[in-house]
Amino acid sequence: MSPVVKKKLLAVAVLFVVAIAMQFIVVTGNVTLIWASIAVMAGAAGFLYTAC
Amino acid sequence: MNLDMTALGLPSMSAVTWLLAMLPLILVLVLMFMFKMSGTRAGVVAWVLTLAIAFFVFKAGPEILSAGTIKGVWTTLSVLFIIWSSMFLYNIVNETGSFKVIASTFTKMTNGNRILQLLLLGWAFPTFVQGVCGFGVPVAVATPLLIGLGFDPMLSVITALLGHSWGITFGSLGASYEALITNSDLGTLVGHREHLAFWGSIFIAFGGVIVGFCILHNYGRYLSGEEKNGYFGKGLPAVIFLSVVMGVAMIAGCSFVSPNLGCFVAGSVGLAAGSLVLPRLPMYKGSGAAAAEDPDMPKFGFLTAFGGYLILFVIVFAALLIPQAKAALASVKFGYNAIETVTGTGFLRKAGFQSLNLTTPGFLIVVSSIFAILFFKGKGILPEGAIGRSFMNTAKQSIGSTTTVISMTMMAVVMTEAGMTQYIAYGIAAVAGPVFPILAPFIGLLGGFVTSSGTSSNVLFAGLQYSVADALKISPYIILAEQTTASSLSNSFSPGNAALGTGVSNQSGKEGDILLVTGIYNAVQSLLVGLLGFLLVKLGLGLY
Repeated sequence: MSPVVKKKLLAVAVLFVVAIAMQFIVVTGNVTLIWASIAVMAGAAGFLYTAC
Repeated sequence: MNLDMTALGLPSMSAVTWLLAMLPLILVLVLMFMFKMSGTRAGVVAWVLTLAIAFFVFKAGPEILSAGTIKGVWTTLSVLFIIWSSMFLYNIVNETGSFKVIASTFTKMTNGNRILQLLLLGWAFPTFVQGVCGFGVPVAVATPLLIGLGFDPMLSVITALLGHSWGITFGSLGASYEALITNSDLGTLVGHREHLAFWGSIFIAFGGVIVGFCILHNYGRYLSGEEKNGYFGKGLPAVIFLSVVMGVAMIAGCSFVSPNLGCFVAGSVGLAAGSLVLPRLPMYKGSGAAAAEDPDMPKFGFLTAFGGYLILFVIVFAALLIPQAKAALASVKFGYNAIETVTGTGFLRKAGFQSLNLTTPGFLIVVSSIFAILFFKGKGILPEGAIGRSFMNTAKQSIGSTTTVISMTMMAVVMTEAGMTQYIAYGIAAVAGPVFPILAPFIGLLGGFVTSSGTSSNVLFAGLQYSVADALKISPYIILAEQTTASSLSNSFSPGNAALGTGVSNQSGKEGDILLVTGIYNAVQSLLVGLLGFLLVKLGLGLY
């Protein structure tokens, strides 16, 4: 498998992991943690952007 | 007309707010069409912009931005499941050399006529598949078959996207139609189902005619020189024949069989009549080049070659039409609890269990792939190492569309959760007044574009369309028929479906090129549907 495909797969995996973490955070209602999780998701989306 | 936006929990109506709500969609189109940016990158940029507009303009708090993003990622799962599983099935079938046999059979059956092949495999066949199993499967199945017949990959994707789109309302065993009924207030009227099915099927049949012409017109873009001369005239009888046959079958199926089976009836009749009658018409008899003898042609027949897809049909039919099987598969669920959210202006999204069950098409295709492997192994035609190679090829071919679907859906779902999509639609309704029947399809188109689903578009906007029709004292049946027709047709213009098409045709990154073509066709389709609706409303038809 080419490095490009591997990087894209990794970016998708990271995104799903962050989304799962976000779900656990959002149910707590802690606003600071929710903002932090959105920032992490933005980072994951940025990784996806660079991988594609 | 006056719409109290604040009563709906949305910001009060203003042109600036409306344009801001539209901005992420405009940005996606500009980035993809003008800057040739990939769907993934455009989706990521638009998602960030959506978060900002949702927060600052629509008063969506962090929990809404977070919940919308989570739901966006979750929503992609069922689509990604289809892309990966159908690509795997395609690769398994391809490993056996079956596409050569399928292509050769269709070439002989259609007297080698390329227009007939394109219309039958790119229009009638996806309609038939859509009748049973939607959610992108018709595109995923028909596109590789067209490519296998030697059509340009881009032409194959666009044809399959257009060809399946008109069947969505009464396809998938009526899922989209049920959403239309349950999300409008028609449930209180006696006989509403039959009335809506009738008007809906009239508009859908009209949409089918337009689709046929769009497919034929688009085919011309891939021809040159001698081939292009008079191609439209040559294809016209076939388009008219299939339009009439499938359109009448759609209306009759919806009126006399069941709206839930309308598309299946239309697709079956179209496929049978198209295969048996069209090649016998004088203008198509011996009109194409004879199939050349291929020394590498596999030595097995069409039924074996098509076996993988026949297995898929049998499994889908069994899973969806046998109540016990459907109930058993539907009972196995997995998902998560989405929280209730309210924006600062009071736009409410209720809590609910977001789930997938085993009737999801992706799972059925995986099961079909396993049976297809066993079938081909039993026939001794699956080469050594085929399964491993198919996995690797599937990952390579599907990853591009996977990333596009994820980024686009994240943006779209945040828009919906923050009320931006609804605000755009209500804005159109507010300014339309008497010309609302012309603009109503564009609301359906918006819903289809944002959600990549005709059913979701109906869920989002059937209530709005009904309310506006009621306020304007015009036929709700005609307005709802316009809504569902446009939302169906818009499936050829949705980024998610375009990504699915590029995924199964190994053309990741070309989503913008596809959307540019289907977007123009879609605008024309919506306008024509709107004009028909306007005319019928002016004639005072469709009142109950």
